[in-house]
Amino acid sequence: MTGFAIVALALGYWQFFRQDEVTTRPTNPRLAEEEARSVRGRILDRHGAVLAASEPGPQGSVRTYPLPGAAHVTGYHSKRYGDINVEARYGDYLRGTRSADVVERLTADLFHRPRVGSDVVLTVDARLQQTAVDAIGDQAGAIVALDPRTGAVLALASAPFFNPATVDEAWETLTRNPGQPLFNRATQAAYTPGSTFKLVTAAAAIDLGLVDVDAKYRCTTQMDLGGLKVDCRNHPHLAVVNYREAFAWSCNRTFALTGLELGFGPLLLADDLRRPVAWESRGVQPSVERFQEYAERFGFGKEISFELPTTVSRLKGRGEWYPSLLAQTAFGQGELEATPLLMALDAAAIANGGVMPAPYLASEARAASGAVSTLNHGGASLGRVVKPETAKVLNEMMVLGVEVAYAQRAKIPGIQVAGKTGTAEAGPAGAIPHSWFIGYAPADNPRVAVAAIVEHRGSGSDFATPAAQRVIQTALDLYKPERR
Amino acid sequence: MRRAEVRVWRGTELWLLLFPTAILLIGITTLVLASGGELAPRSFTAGFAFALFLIVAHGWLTYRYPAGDQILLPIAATLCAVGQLMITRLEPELAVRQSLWVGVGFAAMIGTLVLLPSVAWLRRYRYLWAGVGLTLVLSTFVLGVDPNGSGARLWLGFGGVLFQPSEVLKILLVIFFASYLDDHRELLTFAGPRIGPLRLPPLPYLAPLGAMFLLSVLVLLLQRDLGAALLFFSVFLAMLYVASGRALYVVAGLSLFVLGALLMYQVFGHVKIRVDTWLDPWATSETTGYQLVQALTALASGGLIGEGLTFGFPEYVPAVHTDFIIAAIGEELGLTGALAVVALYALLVSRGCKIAIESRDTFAALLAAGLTAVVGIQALVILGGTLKLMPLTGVTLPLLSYGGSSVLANFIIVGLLLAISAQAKEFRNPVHD
Repeated sequence: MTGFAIVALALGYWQFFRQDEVTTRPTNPRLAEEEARSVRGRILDRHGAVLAASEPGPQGSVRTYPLPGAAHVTGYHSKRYGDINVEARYGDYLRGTRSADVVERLTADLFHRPRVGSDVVLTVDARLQQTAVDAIGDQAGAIVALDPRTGAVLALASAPFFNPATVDEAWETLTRNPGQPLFNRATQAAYTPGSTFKLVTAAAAIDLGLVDVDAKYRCTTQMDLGGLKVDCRNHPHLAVVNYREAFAWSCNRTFALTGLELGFGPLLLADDLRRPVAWESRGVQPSVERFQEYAERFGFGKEISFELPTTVSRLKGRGEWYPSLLAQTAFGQGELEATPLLMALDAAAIANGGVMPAPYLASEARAASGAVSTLNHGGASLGRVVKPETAKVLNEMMVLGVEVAYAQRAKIPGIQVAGKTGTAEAGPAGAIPHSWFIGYAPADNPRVAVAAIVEHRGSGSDFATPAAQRVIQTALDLYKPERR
Repeated sequence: MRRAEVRVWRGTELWLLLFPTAILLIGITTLVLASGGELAPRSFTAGFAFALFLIVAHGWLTYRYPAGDQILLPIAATLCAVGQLMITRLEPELAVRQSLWVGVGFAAMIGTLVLLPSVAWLRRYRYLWAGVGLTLVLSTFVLGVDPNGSGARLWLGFGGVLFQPSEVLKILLVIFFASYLDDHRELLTFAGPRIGPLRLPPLPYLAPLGAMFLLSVLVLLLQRDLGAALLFFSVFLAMLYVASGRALYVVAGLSLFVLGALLMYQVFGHVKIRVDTWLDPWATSETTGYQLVQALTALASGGLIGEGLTFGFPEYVPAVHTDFIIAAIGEELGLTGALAVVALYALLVSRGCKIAIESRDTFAALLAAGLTAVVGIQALVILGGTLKLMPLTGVTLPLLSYGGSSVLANFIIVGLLLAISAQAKEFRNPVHD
């Protein structure tokens, strides 16, 4: 009798308590049966262009991807290797286990009718996605474009990419390829941000009132920080710069100084032209924690909630701060790591008046019956990073960069573009640096914010900036902001 | 006057028998409708035949054994009906054979009741029974066939009919044990040399019993019929305990079992594989663990109320219509259905125990206990194996699984239990013609 009681308990254990765990294992052939029977939903771009669809084939249904350049958005749907990205994240809607039309789903289950998956509509624009992919070309890199007001991702490209339709056959080649085409650089690669990070340093210093953006800096000598030499090679033609110009011409010496001042208080160098800022009178006690706090507002060391897997960007490694590390971090080197997605969000935060939008990729799921469930409303915020006044000043500084300085190749006729370039030293000494650009346009009414990186290609001005310019131009053509 | 007190109509049994009939007929209707014409309506024939068997059995019991237990047959018939239904669902081709075997089973049950002069008659020829049983099993070494390629030649074939002698051996051995233990009960309980506080069993008297037992287990082990060997061992211990009331036998037997199991784990590769598979079936989910993993997955897919008849995929479980039938029941009829089946076995065992306790004749009591143990333990061995409670050993789920010999043997057991219960009542309430 005890034996039967134990058997009864074991039945309850397997049939009830471990039901979901056991049935979702790949050892369950019913999953494939269900898959074969049901019709998987499509993945559509914001205008209804098909990014992924299932079509009947001789050996069951075949998943096709008309725009392979969107591989890192849609992901793949493989019998052997499972699902990733949108295919995985919204797999429940696509499979039909979840639906806007609950009644339809329940009746289908009750009468054992084949499930019909919902279509998932993304915020991505297929044309802009294609532009982004073309802009990177055959380089390795990533471009993220989003609407700074809503956080809607308009394009998310990572190169090299792959054809999601042939993952099963090409798996060996794809995994062995040193270019790592399966790796989503846009959200998961942690790059040294280089000078694009000066946006964060400047934001902290200006927001705290620690720098006067019109104060003049003499920039002729190099600064020696315990062996680290920081000079003004970025603007040999300008011996004296104000803070705006230092930003636009990406002056490492000025930003190293800003970093040190943020951490340790006012510093006056022998050749300084500035009046010392009376920080105490402004009620600000500079300390490295303040800098860290700002970096965190800009998303460093913070998990960014997104529909694709993301890597956490970081301000520094586990060690303690020391002066030269602080100085290097302030101009974008040091131990910094940032994802292209985060850098796009940082640009978007300034574009959005100092509030960082929450990024999202899918807007709604449409059931076969036409019922719609909203997946993301858009307009959600990840918090205010700086005061609106600070954002306004930073906006001017970024415009200056595009108008007269390093970011000039981001110019678009008739439209004011804001931008910051970056040339990030990464990898072994002597390696060609990463080329970065972050920015947005139009500067007075931003509709699109972009981050672009081209790996080991050289200066930010020459490679990432024109690539980003193409994306911004296309985005503005598509959305015609002038008419608003 | 006394006669009036005797219940002549077996009313309880009659209305309880409506359940298995209804289950089978409604079930087959469902299957025919769900198959969309693929499953011929002639499947109903099996259902009506089943109902006919029940009526005949009931009629005979009413005529000949009115005092016999009224619950036993309905339980057995319900299990059998669920089995017949699931086999029709899983293997429509085999369902016809199975219903023939069920017919033969009912015939054997009635035959047992008709031909058996008295329960006591069985005890007289105990060595004959044991001899016949062993001879049958031994003959598989020479004549045995392995129809489904499981690697064990456990069947005898004649004229296209396959027969598994170990199924009959278990009944014959239980009769032998019951008879032997009844003769030597007092010796077993009280006699024997003492060592300190422990009184050892009287070894000389135990010898024939032990020899017969060891011989059977050994033969089965050599045949790689681990399930049957485990079953015999457990039944033997249970009967020894019932007969003597001494826990020493159980303790000694269990220690012996643990020793033997450890030894076999080391020595026999197939035992090691069984145990390793039991510990982690998912590690070998494509090879040796496949069956267990699929069985557990099928059960899990069923959930609380099941996928519904014909809507699951139990056919992924190898041997689902025989040893693993509970996986199909769990998947399509859910936890509800599976628990109902387990409850039926529990009821069957409790009924068997009641019959054993109520019987005045110690031989009959031991026989009833032994036969009940055979059914109960066999159910536990395969249910436990399917549910990953213990290493898997292939035995059928009594009365439910596909398998002619098994159905036949279990119906004979039901017949014997009915005879014993009727006899017990008659002792208490004799009928004077």
